[in-house]
Amino acid sequence: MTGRRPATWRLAWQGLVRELQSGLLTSMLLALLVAVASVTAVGFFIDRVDGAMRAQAAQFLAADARVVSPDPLDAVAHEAELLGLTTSRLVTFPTVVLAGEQTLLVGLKVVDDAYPLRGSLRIQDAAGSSTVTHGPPPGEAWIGRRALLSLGLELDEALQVGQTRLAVSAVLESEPDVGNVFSQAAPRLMVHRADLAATGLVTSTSRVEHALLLASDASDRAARLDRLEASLPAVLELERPESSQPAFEAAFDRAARFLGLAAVVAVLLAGAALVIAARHYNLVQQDAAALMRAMGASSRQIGAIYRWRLLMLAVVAAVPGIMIGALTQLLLADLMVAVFEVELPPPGLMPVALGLAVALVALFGFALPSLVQLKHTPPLRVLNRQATAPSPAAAGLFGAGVLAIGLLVWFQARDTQLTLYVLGGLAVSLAIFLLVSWGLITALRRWPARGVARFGLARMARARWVSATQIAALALGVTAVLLLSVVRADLIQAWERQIPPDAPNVFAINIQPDEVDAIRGFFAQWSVADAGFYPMIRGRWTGLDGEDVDISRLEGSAHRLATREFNLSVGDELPGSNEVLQGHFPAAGFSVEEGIAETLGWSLGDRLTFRIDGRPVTAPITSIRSVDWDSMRPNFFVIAAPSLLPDAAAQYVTSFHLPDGSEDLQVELLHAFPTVTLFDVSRILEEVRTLIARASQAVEYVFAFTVAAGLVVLLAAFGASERQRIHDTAVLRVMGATRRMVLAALWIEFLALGQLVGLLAAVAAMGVGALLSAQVFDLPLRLNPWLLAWGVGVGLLLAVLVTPLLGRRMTRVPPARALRG
Amino acid sequence: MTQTVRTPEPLTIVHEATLQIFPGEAVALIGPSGAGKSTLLALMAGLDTPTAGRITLDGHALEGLDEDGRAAVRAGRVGFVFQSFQLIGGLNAWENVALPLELAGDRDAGKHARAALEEVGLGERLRHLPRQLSGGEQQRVALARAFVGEPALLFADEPTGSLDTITGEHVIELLFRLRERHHTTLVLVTHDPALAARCDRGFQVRAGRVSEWQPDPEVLQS
Repeated sequence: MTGRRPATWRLAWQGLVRELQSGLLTSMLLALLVAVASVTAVGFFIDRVDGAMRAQAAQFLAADARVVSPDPLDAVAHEAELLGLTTSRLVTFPTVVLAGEQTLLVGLKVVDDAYPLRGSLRIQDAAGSSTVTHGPPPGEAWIGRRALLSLGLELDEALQVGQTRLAVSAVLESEPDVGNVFSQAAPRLMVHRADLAATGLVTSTSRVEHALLLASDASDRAARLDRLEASLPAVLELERPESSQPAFEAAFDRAARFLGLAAVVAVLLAGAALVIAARHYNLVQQDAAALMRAMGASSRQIGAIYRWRLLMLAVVAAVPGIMIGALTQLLLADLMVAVFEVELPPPGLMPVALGLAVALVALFGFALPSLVQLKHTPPLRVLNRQATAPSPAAAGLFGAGVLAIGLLVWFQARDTQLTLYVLGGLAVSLAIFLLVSWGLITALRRWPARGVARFGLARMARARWVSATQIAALALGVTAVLLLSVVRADLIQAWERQIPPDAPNVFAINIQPDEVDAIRGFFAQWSVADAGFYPMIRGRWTGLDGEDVDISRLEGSAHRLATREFNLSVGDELPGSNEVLQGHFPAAGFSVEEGIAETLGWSLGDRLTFRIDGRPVTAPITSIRSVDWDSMRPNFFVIAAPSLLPDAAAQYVTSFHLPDGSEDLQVELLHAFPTVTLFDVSRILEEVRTLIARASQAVEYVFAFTVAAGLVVLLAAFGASERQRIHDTAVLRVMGATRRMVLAALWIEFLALGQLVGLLAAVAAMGVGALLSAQVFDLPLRLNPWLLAWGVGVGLLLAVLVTPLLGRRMTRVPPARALRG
Repeated sequence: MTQTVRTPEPLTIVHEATLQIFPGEAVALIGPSGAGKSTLLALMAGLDTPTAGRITLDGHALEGLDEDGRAAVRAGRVGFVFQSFQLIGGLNAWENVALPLELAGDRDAGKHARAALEEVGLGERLRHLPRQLSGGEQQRVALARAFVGEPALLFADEPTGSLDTITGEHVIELLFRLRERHHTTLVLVTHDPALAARCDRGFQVRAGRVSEWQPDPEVLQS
């Protein structure tokens, strides 16, 4: 014999293999497998969709990132080039162009050879319509169709831009980086940077917008952009693509939360199964632990053996779990192919690490507290089976469980609010389940049942806390299944209702006050419902509580917002998609949107000053509103009371729904009102709708994991008590009970247990569903009374599924053998 | 040594027992069921601690040692054979026998375990799980496991209690043969006077009190 450290890992592995073969670890393995598979499937899927969304969003930005400034960005461009980033420089400003006798205010966009870095432009030239990945060459100009019509120009005719003449060689039908639709009031004219100097339009005092587009194909693109961002002066902000499509992003964010929740519930159920299975494993392993202690093993060795075994079990479960997750994400990703114009990128490795982490956290959080006690098994147990390992401390179990749940939910949702809701909901539900079950079992104990009913109910009543724990764990499982099956349908319906089929899909801006009634009449003639006409006034924020705004002290988006002109509205009627959070509306002041108030540090009662039409307008903030930006209705950061701006020059904006194939109506509208600008957002709306539909399907698939986890809880709960049940049945049979009596007792026990579990779960699912939809998903939801019927049904199903199976196993073993152990 | 438990009232199971066992001896603890034999064995092996008194095991005083300290004294010095075999159900015969060596960090645990099983005549049953072995075979595996680490001292608690008479006799023959071959001190708990008589010395345990025991010549003759 040697004094070498014992190979505890070898003993751990040996035991693991044998216990997997014997089925002792089946519940724990399956629980882990389901947890890892659900988390990795969702992780891979979200990773890929996120990648695709970024790629698609990059097209909307024409770059991977962008910096915008009123000043030239040469220094930033130089820094970016040093970092190996590809750059493209743009200049945009409004100017008046001349064609013969016709003049027109256009939004001039000056591009270089590199433009666009991402995405493409669609043009129509003499050769027809085509998609190109460059701007106009020097000496030529591309012009928006409306400008072409307004100027009465033909292709290849010349246009006077400042001091130079350029040939109009193509009609610009679409460009990737349209930007904020409301800031692009004038029709587009695009020219090459080489012609800018010749126009003589830009001097050092000109008010122009400089943009620097950035892109890189390197794998460390994000790191390079981060480095550039870190080097930017405080007044500049690096815009990234994720913020360029808020409606799409909001829809996907909600989908990701749904999926995350489904995966989290699967993991939590797996956790419940692990707690039950580990407790059972602890009881079974006490003999082995006592024997090893009698042979001279130290408590540290015993502890190490079981820790190693758990670690190995985590890996053994994580590998196939991750593979199942990877296969499932293929199915999920397939759903999303139609949603994106770009190909879904391959998934990263992060979900693999996440899967492994989930296996470890779940095992060590849910199972270790039970198993760690094995090291304290008294060696005397080899002679006296009454000597047992101390029960795991409730505080340890609870603490580790809460920590594990918290970590797992946070891993999945990366959302503190959701994590707290899940933890709180779980703790409250479990406490209620335990107390109610305990109370009902106590009542059952006093119920004068006779015959086989007495056997069935006595088994539940004999160990009240054990039965109550089992009922609580099962009720938790059924709650999750009900929550995600019934409530999920309600949530998805409510979610789909967020963008109804007749949601506005076209915005009309630049409507003059005297055109409003005429356009209303036009809409009435064509039976088009508009979202209301709202005045839009441009103004710059200049003061807060009597002091001038110091722009140099503002950073990031606050700086950007303060340097630009706002689109304010005027009115005493709250737009439909707004809700007053603080203060009153209408009132003689400004009503501001909650997001901008937070960004700029505004509070209710602060006095704001805006410079509108060259004069200051000062008033207090009288209300703070939440705005549903997905509503596709005109919405405003700031709404002023009509008394504040009685005669300000306003243009009007509206949005309306046009069914497919109504392009004629758009043309008619533009002919009748040539100064009006239309923005068709139907494509993005359609994309959002498709995303919601496909994400709902993805939730259905991920839900399968939740159901599987629920079944594992069932397996663990009954697997743990199987040996005792077989023994009890043998005693009954020795005393003369027939097989029929044994089965009848079992039916009574499980019908009672099933109904208890089902009703508890139904009530919990009603409450948690309402809370989740209102607080986490921002959706309205009523209580669903059908859940009670579902609960009763699931309870019955539980009895029908489990009783015959367990009954067969209990009566199959001959009593003599069962009693021998 | 004295061992008193408090369930539900104070009950003295071993009362001021004094006994000394010398290296190489075979000593029997004999007495009826409930007399305190197994408790005495547990105290001597350091599986339990006396409420009063001292125990020295292979030169090491056990009092004052915690559970791990007593385990360290047992490690590599003490073997056990139990009435209910106490094999680990999930491990096969070979792995069960190798277990104490593995715990002690023996690099050649597998080789020694194979040799030990061959020594008890189970060289062909290495890969069998306990449930695939008969009671007698399981106890032979337990004997192989007890002797594989060449322990100085072996505690055997009613080793034939779960076996029929003939199988029990075979197991006892094997136990004594192995003990002689390995020069192992034996402490044997039994209620069978004939079996106790095979030992060098005997102690009678009655209601927790220990006294010298001499075999009845008639029993020996029978």
